[in-house]
Amino acid sequence: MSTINERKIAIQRFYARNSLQCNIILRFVLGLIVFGSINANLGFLAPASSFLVTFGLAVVMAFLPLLIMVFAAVLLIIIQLYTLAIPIMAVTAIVFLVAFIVYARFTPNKCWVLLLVPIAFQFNIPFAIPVAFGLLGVPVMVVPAILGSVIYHLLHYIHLTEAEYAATGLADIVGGLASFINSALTNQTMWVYAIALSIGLLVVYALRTRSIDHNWKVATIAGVIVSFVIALVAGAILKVELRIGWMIFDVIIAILVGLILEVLFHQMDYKNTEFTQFEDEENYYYVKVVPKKFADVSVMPAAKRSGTQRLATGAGIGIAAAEAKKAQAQKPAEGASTQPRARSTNPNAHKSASNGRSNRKPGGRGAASSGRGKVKTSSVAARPNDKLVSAMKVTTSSAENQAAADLGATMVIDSEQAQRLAARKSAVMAKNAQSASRSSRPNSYGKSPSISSKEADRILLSRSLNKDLGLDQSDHNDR
Amino acid sequence: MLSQERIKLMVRLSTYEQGVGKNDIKISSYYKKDYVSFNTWMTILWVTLGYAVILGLYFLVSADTILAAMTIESLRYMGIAIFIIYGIVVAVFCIIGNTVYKRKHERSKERIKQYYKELSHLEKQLRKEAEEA
Repeated sequence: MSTINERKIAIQRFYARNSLQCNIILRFVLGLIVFGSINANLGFLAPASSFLVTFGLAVVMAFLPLLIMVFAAVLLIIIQLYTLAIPIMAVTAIVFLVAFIVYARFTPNKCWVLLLVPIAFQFNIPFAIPVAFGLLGVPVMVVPAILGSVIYHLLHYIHLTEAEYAATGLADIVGGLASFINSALTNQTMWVYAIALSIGLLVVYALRTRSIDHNWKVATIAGVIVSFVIALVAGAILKVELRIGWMIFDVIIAILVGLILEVLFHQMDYKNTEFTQFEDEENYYYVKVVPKKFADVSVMPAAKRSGTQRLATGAGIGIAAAEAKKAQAQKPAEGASTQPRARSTNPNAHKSASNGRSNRKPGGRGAASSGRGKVKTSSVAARPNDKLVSAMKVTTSSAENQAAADLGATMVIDSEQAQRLAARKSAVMAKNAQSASRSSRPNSYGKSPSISSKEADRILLSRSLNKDLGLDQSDHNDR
Repeated sequence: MLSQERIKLMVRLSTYEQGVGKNDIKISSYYKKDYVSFNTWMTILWVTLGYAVILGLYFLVSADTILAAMTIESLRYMGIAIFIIYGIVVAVFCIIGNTVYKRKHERSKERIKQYYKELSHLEKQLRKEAEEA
C-alpha cells in the first residue's frame, strides 16, 4: 500500500509541477478519442472523416475549454448525419436539443461528462460510468448517464443501419422520420442500459455516503453487481440479446476503476477510527472520525494537516475532551496538581471537559443557540500534556458573544480569530510533523527521543494556541 | 524586497479573476431575485421550445394514426392532455431552474465576497510595504 501511496504522491507532484501541459495532453487525448470515434462510426462525409481532420480537431481542442469540444463534437455529428439523411439528422439534433435543455443549460461547465458515457460504451465498459459518477459525483449525474446512453445507442444504430437510410432524401422525409424513430428510439438495449446505469449510480452514491468502513469499495462492488443484475433481468424481460462475456469483462474493469479512484481520491486509515459521543443543549452527537491516510506528511494540504475541522467544530472539541479523559485515566498517579485545569472564569468548565460535553446553557435555547449550522460551540478542550484547558466560544455576532459571556463561557472569540487559530494550528502541526520525522530517528547517542512525536505535537500546538488566546503558560505560572 | 505572501495572494486573485471570477462578477451584478427569475423564464422558454419540437415530431411521425382516429371528442382530450403534460413539465423545470440558479447565485456571491476580502488584504499589504519603504 505504501508503494501505491508513493506513486500516487509522485503523480500528484508531477501534475502539480506540469498541470498546464498535463491538461493540454489530456484534452488532446480526449479529443482524439471523441473525434476519432465519431469519424470511425459515422464517416459519411469523406473530407471530414480523414485522420488529418481528426488530429487537427484534437490539437485545436486541446487548447480550448471542454465546452467547445462538446459543441464541436455535436456539430461534427450533425454534419456527418446531414450527409447521410436529413430525417436522421433532424432526430439526432432534437436529441441533442433535449440534452441541452435538460442538462447542459444548468451545468455548462460539466457537460463534457456527456462525452464520457459514449466513450465508455465504445470501449465496452459502460458499468464504469455508474462507479465513476457515483463515487465522484452527485445523484444528478443520472441525467448525463441516461442521455449519454441514448446518444451512444442512437449513433450506434445509425452506424449499423446506415445503408437502409442512405437513400432517404427530402422526398420521403416523413416516412424516413417515422421509420427511424420507431426503430431507433424503441431500441430496447438502450433503455436496458439506461435503467441499469441509473440505478447502479444511485446505489453507488447511496453506499458511498454511508459511514461504513471501506464505503468506497462496498459502493463500487455493490453498484457494479446491481447494474449487472438489472441489465440481465431487464434484458431477459425485454428479450434483449446481451453479450454476457463482455459484460463480465465490464464488471471486472468497473471494479478496477472504482479501486483506482479510491486510491486517488479517498484513502482512509480505518485502523485508527475513533468514536465519540457528546451532547449540547440541542442535540446528542454520535461521531465517527476516520483519519485520512498520507504516506508523506509534506504533501498534505495545510488545512487537512492538523485536523482543523476538529478544532472548528463541536465534534472536534468533544474529541479533545474525550482525549483528555483518556489521558486522565492513563495518568492517575500524577494527582490533582497535574489534572487539566481551565484558566477559566467558568467554575464548571473543567467538569464539562472531563465529561466530554460542551458547556450547557441553563434554560435551554437563547441568543447563543440561534443560527443552527454555524460554527459555534461552547466547550472546554483539555490538552493532557501541558495541563491546559482552553475554553472557546466560536460565534459570528457580537450579540452571540454577549450571550455567551452572560452564560459564563471562558473565552469568546470570533470566527475570524478561530480561523486564524486553525491556520496557526496547521502551521505548527506541519512544522512538528517534519521535526518529529527527524527526531524519531535515533540521535547521535543511539537513543530514541524521550517523548513521542504525538506528544511533541500536542505540547507545541497547545503552546501556540495559548499564545494566540493570551493564555501563555509561562505568564500563567508567573502569576 | 519581494513579499512571497503578497505574490501568492496576487496570483490567487488573478487566477480567480481570469477563471470563475469572470462569470461570478457577471452573476453577482444582478440581485438574486432578478437573476433567478430571469433564468427561470429562460428555462421555461427553452422547455417550451423543446416540448413544441418533440410534439411536432410526434405529430409528424404518427400523423396517419391520428388522422385515422380523429374526432372532435378525441381532439379535445388530446388538447387537454397536451396542456396538462406541458404544465407538469414546465412546473418541474421551474422548480429545478429556481433551485439551481439560486444556489449558483449564492455560491458566486460567496466567492466574490472572499475575493473582495483578499483584495482588501492585498491593498493593506501594499500600503504597509509603501510605508515601510
